[in-house]
Amino acid sequence: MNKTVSIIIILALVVVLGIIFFGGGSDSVSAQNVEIRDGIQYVTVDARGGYFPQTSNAKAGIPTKLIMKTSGTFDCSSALVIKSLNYQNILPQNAETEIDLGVPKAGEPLQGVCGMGMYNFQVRFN
Amino acid sequence: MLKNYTFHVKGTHCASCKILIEDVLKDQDFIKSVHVDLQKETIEIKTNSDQNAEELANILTDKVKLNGYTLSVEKKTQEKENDDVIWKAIPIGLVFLILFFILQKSGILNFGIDGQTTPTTSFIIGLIASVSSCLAIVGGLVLSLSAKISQDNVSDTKTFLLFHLSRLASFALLGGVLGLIGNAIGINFTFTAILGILASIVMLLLGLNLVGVFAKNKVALPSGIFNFFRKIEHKTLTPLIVGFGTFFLPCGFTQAMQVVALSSGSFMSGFLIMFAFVLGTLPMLLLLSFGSASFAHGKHAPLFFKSAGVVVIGLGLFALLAGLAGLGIINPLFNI
Repeated sequence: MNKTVSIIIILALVVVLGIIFFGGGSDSVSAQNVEIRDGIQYVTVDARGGYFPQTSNAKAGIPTKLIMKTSGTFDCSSALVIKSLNYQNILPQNAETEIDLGVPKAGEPLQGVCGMGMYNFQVRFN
Repeated sequence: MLKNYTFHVKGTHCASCKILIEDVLKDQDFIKSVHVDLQKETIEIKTNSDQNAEELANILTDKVKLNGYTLSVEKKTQEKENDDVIWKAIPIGLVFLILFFILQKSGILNFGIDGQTTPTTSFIIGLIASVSSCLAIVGGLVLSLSAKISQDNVSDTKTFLLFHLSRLASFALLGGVLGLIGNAIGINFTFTAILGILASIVMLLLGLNLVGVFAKNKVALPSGIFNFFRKIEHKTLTPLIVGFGTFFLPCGFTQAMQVVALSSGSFMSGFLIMFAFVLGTLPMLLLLSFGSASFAHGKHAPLFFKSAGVVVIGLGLFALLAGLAGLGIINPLFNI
């Protein structure tokens, strides 16, 4: 194969890889997954084949609980790690797991990743 | 009257090549004896032909060209041919990586499994796991080790069988143990993550070696490491240990199944669940190891090794970055 042709093909393929990894981030930031009941803020994140929504916006300064919702989840997203809380757990396959976040401060987002590291989510507080 | 000639030979990537070339060349009437030196990459022949060395090299090359070997009087600068192959191998490797990551991103693999986990559902989960992102680490490791072993060793079948049997047995037995012990032992994330990072470093090194970076530039560092690999890959114990070790490699599916086995309550049920799961993962991994062996002994071997190297480097990088993110050492770079 011609070297020049090959280099052009390689560049094109690298762009495609880049799009797969970093593109298509049509992130639904405005997802209705945060609600306040009886003075406690609940942030719900679905865990199956990744975490949805990937970014949530919640209010700072009120007691907050994170609800991880699994439905027949066996993939990596069931192996949840939240470094800032020292939380490491394998979520039950079909359940809602409640994690107490205390009273989050503004500007300190919560970052969760799966055990292997290829899925992640973030909850922003403001 | 007999004359001696020494030619340089290219394309000899395995021990069986020596046998093959000698067999083919011995069949020519004008050749009296053939000796292939794999280390020096030379062929010595005794012949009664009147042709000069150049002509002989061409005639003999024609005989073994189909098998991917070339003979020459002068030592050909290896760079040229290597370059040609690598420029084909990089696009091929990238296409496989793209297909793999599209499959992950597509969400096809994300259907949930409801209800009780039975051996049947475990088997299905195993099938899914074997093409999921777990393939990046377990499959990448199997591919790189298989290609490396096939490259160095003719009798690779025994090594592969030992690896797969050990994997089946370890999963089943450890599943049984988890079922028996119940909640007494936790599965440590940090431990599996570190193991995963080690595996990805091994993949990166083997991948670079397959692509030929080390052979070409004679990088000094890895000679010790590769002698070490070469030494251990011939031992019976090694495939058994690696097979056993795959139980602890980071893979969400494996970890979730371990928890199911843990809460199953008895040795038998834990044993069955993990055994069904590992059976499900078997077809894909068998394909990878025996597939690479058959390519490695075919005529496209150089292209296969380099393409496999590119795929392994890609998967190794992915696993390394993901593993570091999982440990919280770097911020997650991607969601896939």
